[in-house]
Amino acid sequence: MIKALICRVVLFFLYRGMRVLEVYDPQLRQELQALPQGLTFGIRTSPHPGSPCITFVNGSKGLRKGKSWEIPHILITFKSLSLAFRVLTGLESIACAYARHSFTLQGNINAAMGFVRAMEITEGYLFPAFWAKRILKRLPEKQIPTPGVYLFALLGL
Amino acid sequence: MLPQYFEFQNAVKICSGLLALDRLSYELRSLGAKAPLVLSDATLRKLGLLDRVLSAMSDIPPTCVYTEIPADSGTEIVDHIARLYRENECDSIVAAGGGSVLDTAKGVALLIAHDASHIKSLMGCDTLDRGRRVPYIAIPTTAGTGSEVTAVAVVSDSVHQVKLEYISTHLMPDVAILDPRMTQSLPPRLTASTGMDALCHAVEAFSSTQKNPLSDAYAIAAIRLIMENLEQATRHPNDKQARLAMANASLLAGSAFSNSMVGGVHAIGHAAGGLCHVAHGDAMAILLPYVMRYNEDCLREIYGELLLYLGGAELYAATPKERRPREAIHVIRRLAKRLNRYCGLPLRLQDTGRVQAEDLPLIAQAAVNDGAMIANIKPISQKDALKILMHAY
Ligand SMILES: [Fe+2]
Repeated sequence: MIKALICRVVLFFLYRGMRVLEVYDPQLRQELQALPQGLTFGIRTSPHPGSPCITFVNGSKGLRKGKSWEIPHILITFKSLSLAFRVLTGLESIACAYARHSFTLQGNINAAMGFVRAMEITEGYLFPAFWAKRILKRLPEKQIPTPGVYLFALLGL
Repeated sequence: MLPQYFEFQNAVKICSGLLALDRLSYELRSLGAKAPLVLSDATLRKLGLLDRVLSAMSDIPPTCVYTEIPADSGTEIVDHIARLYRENECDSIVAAGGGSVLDTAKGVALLIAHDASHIKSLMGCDTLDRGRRVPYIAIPTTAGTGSEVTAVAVVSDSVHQVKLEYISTHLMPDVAILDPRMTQSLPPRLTASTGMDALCHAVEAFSSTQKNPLSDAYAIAAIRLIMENLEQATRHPNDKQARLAMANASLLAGSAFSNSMVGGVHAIGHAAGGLCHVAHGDAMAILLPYVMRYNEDCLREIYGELLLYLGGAELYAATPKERRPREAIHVIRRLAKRLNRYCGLPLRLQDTGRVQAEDLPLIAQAAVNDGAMIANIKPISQKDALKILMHAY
């Protein structure tokens, strides 16, 4: 229960954080702009229907949340909630989870790569540097301090 | 070092060596096949290798034979062959050819297993269940891709000029037949190029994020066989021993990378193949030393160990520890240079005659979006990929 709750909170900040960084971080903006417009990208924390999930839409006016009942173009489904928990709390990188076959990926792998990089940039902001350093191959050059990202994310700016 | 977690699968039955092809009918029967679809290409038909396969199937003759598979098979061809499979009421697949033919067969098997019409609708990694069972026997005629044992299929998307990757353990054939007679007519130039692809699989599998003790064992065995036999097979095409050794090396390297993934060399090579149609093996032979140089600072220990398998015990012992990683790269470079002298294996991208300097930024852009990039231990940005490409140009 607690793991599901934490995953839900992290997914919230991941989405809101990415929206904030779309404005402040040119590299993240570039990654999203390179993706096809209208592309939808979903993360399901387990194959179980009620488990925490999120769908991002790469809209013409920026990133927005998709409808949870629609099947996205690219869908990452973790094989279990505990495996998703490790990634979402920064115990393991997405690349590491991929290496360990912790999730399945439905859709075009090439198109997923850009979105994964955007997620990693966001993680670089959301996690404290010493934490992010353990899991990310390269840390982003921060264009806005981490508390700023959290503040704007909470305010929904 | 033992990873915290890893997976390894190789469920393919391997029939390797003397008269291996003559066991084809038996293997088909034991898989319950009655109406096989045979896939191959025009070159193998001309060389008479297809006839050899067909005569080995005299007990269970094919219901349909399709030999129009091009070198860079695409999504339309896979969809088309699946339609043929259904129209002819086939119940199994025998594919004889290089990576393109074997991967096309995997795509067809996937479509049939999931009752789908378009291979593009099944894109993904580990998402599909087994579906309907489609017995599939692979007979490689090149020694490089290792497709006969991999859980990966690469199919070209001609519209978007990219190579689509399909990853699923259900893509693995049921049986792989390695018969030295089937690779004997491979010209020296192709022998060298596909052999370097196998070497690249082994080196990248040994140094990727997913490496594990089993994939390491396969990779090491492959590297040793390649270093002992690739030049011999290139210079003396009729040397059955060398041919069989290379076929086994390719299979071992295939199983290694299928379980631990390839990295930056393949990511950049796939992009060069998709955009400029550089032959896959050529791209691997050219890029391998350059990507290793890029990775060297992150992989010193692993590359240092590789010297033992690439160069042998004497060279390893005679090389001071700090120089071993660089020497491992030099051993590969020297091998490529010798192959270049024997048969003209290209050493630079411009030697292929397919890449112009102005293509490099586009290749770099496509490379970072290739799935293999995720398994490269050192991050490769678009800028880094461009630098590697400029060095290799
Ligand atoms: Fe390859």
